Amino acid sequence: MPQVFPKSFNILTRLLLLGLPVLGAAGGVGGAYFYRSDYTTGAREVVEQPVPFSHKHHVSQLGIDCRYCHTAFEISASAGIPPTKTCMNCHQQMWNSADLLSPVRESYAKNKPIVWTKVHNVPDYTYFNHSIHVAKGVGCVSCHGQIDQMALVFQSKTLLMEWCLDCHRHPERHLRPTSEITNMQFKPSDTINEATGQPNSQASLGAELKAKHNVREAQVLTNCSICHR
Amino acid sequence: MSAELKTAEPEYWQSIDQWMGSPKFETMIQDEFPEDASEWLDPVSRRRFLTMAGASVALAGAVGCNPSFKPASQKKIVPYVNQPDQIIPGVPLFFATAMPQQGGVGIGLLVKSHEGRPIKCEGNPNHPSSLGSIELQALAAPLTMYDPDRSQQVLLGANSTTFDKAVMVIKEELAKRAEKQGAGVRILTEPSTSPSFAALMDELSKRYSAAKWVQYEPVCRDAAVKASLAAFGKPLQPIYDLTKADVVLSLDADFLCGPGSVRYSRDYASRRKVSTVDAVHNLEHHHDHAEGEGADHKHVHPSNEKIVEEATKKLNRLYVVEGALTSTGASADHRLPLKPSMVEAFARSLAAELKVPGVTAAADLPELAKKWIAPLAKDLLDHKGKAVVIPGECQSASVHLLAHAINAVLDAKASAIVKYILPLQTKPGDRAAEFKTLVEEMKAGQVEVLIMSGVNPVYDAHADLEFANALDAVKGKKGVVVHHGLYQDETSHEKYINYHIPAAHFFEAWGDVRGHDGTISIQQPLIAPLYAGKSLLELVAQLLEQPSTDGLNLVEATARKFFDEKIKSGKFEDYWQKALREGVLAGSAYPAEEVAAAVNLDKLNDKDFTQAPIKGLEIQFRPDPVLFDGKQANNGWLQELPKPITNLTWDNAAMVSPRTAEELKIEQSFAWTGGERGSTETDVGELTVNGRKLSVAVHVVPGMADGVVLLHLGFGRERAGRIAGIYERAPAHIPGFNSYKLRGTDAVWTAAAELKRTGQKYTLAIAGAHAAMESRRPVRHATKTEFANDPVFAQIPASSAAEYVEIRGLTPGTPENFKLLGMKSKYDHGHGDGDHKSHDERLKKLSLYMANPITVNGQEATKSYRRWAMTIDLGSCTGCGACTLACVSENNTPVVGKDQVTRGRAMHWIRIDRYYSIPGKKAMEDELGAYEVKPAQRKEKAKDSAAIRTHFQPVPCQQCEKAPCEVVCPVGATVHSADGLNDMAYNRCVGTRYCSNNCPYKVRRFNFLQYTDYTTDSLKLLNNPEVSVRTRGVMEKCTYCTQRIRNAEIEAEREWDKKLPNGKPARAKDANGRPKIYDGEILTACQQACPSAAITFGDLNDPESKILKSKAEEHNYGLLAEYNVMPRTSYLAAIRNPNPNMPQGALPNMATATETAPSGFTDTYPTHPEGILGGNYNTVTLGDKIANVVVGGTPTPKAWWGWFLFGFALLQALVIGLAYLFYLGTGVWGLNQPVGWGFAIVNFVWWIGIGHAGTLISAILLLLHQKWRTSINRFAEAMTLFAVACAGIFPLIHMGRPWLAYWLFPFPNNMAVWPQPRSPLFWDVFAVSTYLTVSLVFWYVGMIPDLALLRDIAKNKAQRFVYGMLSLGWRGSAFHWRRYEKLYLLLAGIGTPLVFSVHTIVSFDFAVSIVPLWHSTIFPPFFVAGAIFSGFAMVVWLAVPLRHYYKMNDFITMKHMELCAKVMIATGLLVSFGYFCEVWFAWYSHGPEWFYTMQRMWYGPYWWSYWALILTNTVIPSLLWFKKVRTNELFLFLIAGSVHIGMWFERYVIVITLSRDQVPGAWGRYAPTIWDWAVMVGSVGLFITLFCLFVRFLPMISITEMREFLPFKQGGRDGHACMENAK
Repeated sequence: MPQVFPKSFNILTRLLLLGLPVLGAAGGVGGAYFYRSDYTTGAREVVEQPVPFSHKHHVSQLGIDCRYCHTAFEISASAGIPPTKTCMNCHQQMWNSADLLSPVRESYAKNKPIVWTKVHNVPDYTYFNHSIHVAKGVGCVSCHGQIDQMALVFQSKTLLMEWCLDCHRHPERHLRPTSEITNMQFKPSDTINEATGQPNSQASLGAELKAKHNVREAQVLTNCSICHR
Repeated sequence: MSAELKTAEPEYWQSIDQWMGSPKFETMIQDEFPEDASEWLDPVSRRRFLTMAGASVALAGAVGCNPSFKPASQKKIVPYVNQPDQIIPGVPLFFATAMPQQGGVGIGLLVKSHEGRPIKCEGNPNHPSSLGSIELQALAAPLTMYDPDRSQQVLLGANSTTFDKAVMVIKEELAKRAEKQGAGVRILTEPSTSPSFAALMDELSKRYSAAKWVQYEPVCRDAAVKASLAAFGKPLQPIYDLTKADVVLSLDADFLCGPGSVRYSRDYASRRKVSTVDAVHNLEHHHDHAEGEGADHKHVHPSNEKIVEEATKKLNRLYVVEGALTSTGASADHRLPLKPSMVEAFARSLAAELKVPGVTAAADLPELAKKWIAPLAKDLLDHKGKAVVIPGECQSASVHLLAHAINAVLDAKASAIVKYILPLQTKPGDRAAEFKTLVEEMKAGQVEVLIMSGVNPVYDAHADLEFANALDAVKGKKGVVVHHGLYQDETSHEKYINYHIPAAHFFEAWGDVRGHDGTISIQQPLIAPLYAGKSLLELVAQLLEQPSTDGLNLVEATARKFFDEKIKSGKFEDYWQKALREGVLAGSAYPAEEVAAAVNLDKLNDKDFTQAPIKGLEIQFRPDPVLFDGKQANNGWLQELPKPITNLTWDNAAMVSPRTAEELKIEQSFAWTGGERGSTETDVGELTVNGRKLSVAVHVVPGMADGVVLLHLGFGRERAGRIAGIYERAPAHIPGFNSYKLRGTDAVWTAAAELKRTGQKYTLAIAGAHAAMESRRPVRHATKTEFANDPVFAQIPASSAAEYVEIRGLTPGTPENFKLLGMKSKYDHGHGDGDHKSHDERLKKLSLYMANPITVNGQEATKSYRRWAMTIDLGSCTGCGACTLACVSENNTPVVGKDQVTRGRAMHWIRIDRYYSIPGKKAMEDELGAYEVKPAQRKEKAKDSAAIRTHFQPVPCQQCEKAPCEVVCPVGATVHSADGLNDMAYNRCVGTRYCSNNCPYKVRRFNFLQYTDYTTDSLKLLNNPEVSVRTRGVMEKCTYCTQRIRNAEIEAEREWDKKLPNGKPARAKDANGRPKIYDGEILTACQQACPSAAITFGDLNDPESKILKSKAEEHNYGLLAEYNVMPRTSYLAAIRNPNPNMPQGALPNMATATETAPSGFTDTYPTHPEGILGGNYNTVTLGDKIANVVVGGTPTPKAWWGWFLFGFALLQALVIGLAYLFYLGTGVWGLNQPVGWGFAIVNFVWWIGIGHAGTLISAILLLLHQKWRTSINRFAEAMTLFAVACAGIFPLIHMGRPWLAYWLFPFPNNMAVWPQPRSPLFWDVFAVSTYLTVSLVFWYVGMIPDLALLRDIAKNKAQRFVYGMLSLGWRGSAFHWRRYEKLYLLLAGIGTPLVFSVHTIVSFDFAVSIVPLWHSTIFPPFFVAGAIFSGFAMVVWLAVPLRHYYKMNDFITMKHMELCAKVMIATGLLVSFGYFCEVWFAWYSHGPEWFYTMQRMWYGPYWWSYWALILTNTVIPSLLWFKKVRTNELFLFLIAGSVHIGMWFERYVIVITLSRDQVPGAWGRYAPTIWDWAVMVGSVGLFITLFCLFVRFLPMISITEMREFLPFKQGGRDGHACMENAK
């Protein structure tokens, strides 16, 4: 009885046997990258908004501080999206007939809120609190990226749990003086180390501020109920 | 629907994205009852089924901390247009308001509001009636406010109209009657204490002097009003100051429960608290003070007796005389069960004994009651000026009169324990008489316009008045009937009324009410009316055409008037703002009125005033302790809240005492499903009162007075909503029955009644029915004297002191503190270290579990950080349930419905266990639960109502430091936090329920189904945004309100550098350098709500905290602390204060009271020298015989088709069962709260065990050169694979969220968290998957030569191709054979340890837990032996049909069968030895839990399963000792079948053990549902199907290996015959 398979199948079989683990590993690594990619996490994705509000223009060109609009971030869990009134404070006077701003004027006139699309979307079971982060010296830029350079806001970090934990395990890597919270250009070397008299590195500044700001230990900051309730 | 129906644009809604423009919401508003009532109540109906399908698909994507798979999100943010000043998004606001309750009396509240959504009621600390605590009606108010079933449109008949049109018509009607001064106009409202409404009613009587305002309420206090009129000539209201009372006598008054009870509970409980720590402090302070400053500091320390005396001297004493068993009675030191109609006689005799002038003792009191009078009177007189009598509202006016008179004798008024104040209600009077007059007028046609508000008389009026007919009379005569109310209820039916106007909830409108002492509180709106309701105030103001009809203006005007008349100083504006902020008008409490010293008793014997004793059975009506009068009946929170004492939910019942039940031949039993924590099946009785009849479910309650039937009002609503039911739509789903139908003007509170058994049965949903402590003493209590004799009575065994030693070591002044400091205790009275106070300190170290594994700065975190802890004082708990309801409201706990409660799945995070006891020989013995007391005896003792004592024990999560739940979670969803919280991360939970199984307290709650309502929009608004809403398949539990802790922490931490204006830091630092959280800054929801302030919570590391003091009390003990789990929640034992002279109480000993066998087997005994191959074969015939089955040479026997189709049919059950399971969740099974693992794990272990024989035969017997393995190894291996496959299904499907099963695998995921290697479940995953993999490879490798042979003899191309692929190019060369042999041996080597490891690890699932009888070192060898036992049984079982249908008896010979049987004998003996060991361990350890569980196994509710297992696993297999039996196929087949059953029962017994583990209050029963059976039977189907396919398509016996035996058989042939086939 003749063989069912020609001899040339042997090489194929061997390749297959060798290839399977390689494929599996590649799949795993690929999957890991895919799961962390901008595509899946939504990072760097520009979201369309009812009014194309430019942080770049308002922050870096006009020099408006974050606090002017996001009034609650130092006292509340949420930063606060400005009410239409805040827009109208200025835009009653300037650009008060611009087409771009007609949704704002309409909202104000009809007392109907503007419906913005959420960009930084943390799941409901995760309780992020702005106020404690800024009180302990985590700057806006650490999570939101260079908002002052964004014409339209996009999410600049993955917002994955490993990203949250990275900072909760090593808070000193992201600390800055509380006076520089909203400063998008702040560099650790702008400050002088009290002990050495040399400009700070993030490592030296972070260690100093962690003690000074009374930041809790990683073992405490990584408790489940710190974020999940 | 008309356009006008749209709601007013709510003012503060803008940030709720679901709210605005949601089409669902629009439909909800327009559709009165959007869904069928039945659908809601039955969570597994079709509609829900479909919803779930959608939900589970949607949920599948929501994993980890990843926002979503593709989050370019569609989530919206909707900011304000103009942000109101006071609102900061994310920061809740609290508004002071008040809720009008019974009699219109208000309780002051603080309502928490999130971005304009009121979500929770809390007590207002400034309000005299609440003092910061709260009761059930007010707690439930937010849900009523959002209730989608509330009335949402103004109706004219059945058609909608507008508010303005309706008002216009009513005004016209009034105008028509203006000239007749409004004759024929009647306004019928609830009783009102509102000064603003009183002003409007004055206006009404000015304008329409002939119009009448009638106030009506079903549960009213008429007797009290009548009595005070008679006694004082004025309708005065007595209020009591229980802080001053040393002795309290309640005459059927349940003053610790229900509306208006909060302040009384607080005051009463303030005298029930015992503190030895305070006592020491007081005595020391006193001593130091006496010694003076300069004195020598030689401490003459107080003696133990002194300390206890000081600690208990404030303890008050409560006597209760009552018919029903109420919360108040349960808290009493002495309780006399007495028929309610006899209470008056009792009061007369007592008054006579107390020498009240003009009162003579009653003649016919029962014996026990007579014995009460003298000692009670003496005790009252001994405490003259410090004693008070409180009469109940269900009692006659004479009882009230007598109470006034006795209080006068006792000087209660003089000492201000009783204060008589002006009546709270506007125009007080005899409400029942007024109402009766109104009905008569209506029937007589004198009423033309009837405006009803807030009342529902068609439902709750006295039945003999026939209010519905009276309404017909008004409406029939072209009169106008208007109904104004929150709901379209029974009265607002279009049959009876013309107009229905939706009312505003008290959250939605301005108003004012008086508190219990007359204090006026402002009722401030929290939200614009959701459903366009109008308040009564506004409605009447419009009807009367007031200058301002705005609620705010009306209320403010009243306050201004009050200010101008009474306060006069300061500016009104300031006064008003303060009143709004604080919720009360300062200075508005009523002062005490002067009354004559002598109480006028002229009317004492008036016919109207007295109540004659009723002979025979008597009924008592009482408001329901939870639903009260039924106005909030459509509130799921209330319906599902277990009632105090009975734990009954979703129903009322006719309560009778055990003796009365016996007389009436009424029985009840735990229903098979749910059982003790679920359902009780009871007799239905027909109750007759004055000719009126009602069918009622009867519930037997120990402690009830004999001859009394207690009926709670408020149930049986016929037109209420989806929760309380709509009779016309779903009569079967109406909770309870309407007791008002029996109530008449002739039977207001009590009447003679008849109760007859109807023969029908009814199932009651009882959230916890087990009432005996079973000698485990979960509740500990002592009398004052016992406490003095042994102050640490609660800490026996010593280990139950929990953290006692440690805490007391930290608390200055305690003996331990001195010991730790190396000093001699100043309170050491020579007991020495050997006395009962010393604790076994080894216990702390002896634990498998780490204490808090988290270290901060190198120290155990809880030492250097915060240590949250709680104590619950059992002495003050009245079991009212406020803690449970507050927790529900705070933590978004879902309502599950009656059906789920009957299955034992109520979700409350804090349950209140209720136990009964009868004082026994020893003071601490609890006779009802003592284990010498047999069930029959116990039943007999429970009949002695007078001896019954009731105990309450609230049980939340105990936050163990060495939490048993944490170590067993495979994914680490529940872990310890640095501050000692047992954190529960819902989003990490995959739902194995292992934590719940291992929790000795059974406080974890599992979402068996999708309980949270994700579909009703208005209910979403109710959720607390600070707490995650849990989805199905997730475990939840008490968190100590972690959201409150974390928010307080954030607030404190935020202030690390903040300075006050004076330069001082905003927050002090604690000992560990952290910003200090002050004691009392964090209140848990239960603590905050508790009316008797029984709960203390705080930081143990804060030396000034109340909690530290509380834990250092002598009577502090940990529940089950002897398990060394170190519970953070502990209990203060109840100290009661009985009067030793009383006939009942402290005195001991007062209790009086198969298949048929296949035929035609022909066994030929083998000719192979070892008997392992028979017949006459050569290599070809042998190969063909086996291979022909596969390639088609042998026709497939019909039986194959039979078996295959049978298996395949069963498999469909699995498919359907799984589909249903995945759609709805594990709740489709019979799982419940104590039994978290049911059939799924039973089947899992059963199948895994069966799977053991394969590897054993192939690997171990191969290594041991046992040739007889050869013919059976192939199909045994196949059996292994299929059994493991069947087993593998179960762990996966039993998970709550199986789609997250991959979280059990360790891989670097984007959550940066790992599975937990301490959990056996984690190792199960590896053990089972390794076993499956190795077995598969072993089986396949062994089959390769046979597959090549099949390829070679294949009859068609397809076979050749498939077998060709599978045989991997096997040519049978020597090279191949060498490799093959090597590999086969190697795999055998690898497989061998697996036989032991797999089932050892499976046994760890049980053995490492602390469940009684699971926690056993015998388990691993016992399990392995059992596995081999069952595996061989399966081999024998499969061999029989193979021999028969395929005539394989030459290959699988009788020798094989006999050898298998011998293995079964050996392993069976091992297993039986295991059973013996279990018993021996239980006996030898003598742990009550072990011992009991063993006993319950023998003769508890599952006795049959245990004895079935002994019979089938031990007794029947013993027959195998007889050679005749083990060489008979039929017997072998039957015995193997018996072993299958036995081994299944063995696992069943183990898993079901959970239903009765440590805490009797948590006991339940388990019963499988049809879906359990479907999956189980389905798995058998899968096995049969796979095995049939294997038999048909693969060689069932190894051809190549069998050929090795041929040379023995046919000497001439060489051993290489197999090569021939290769050609």
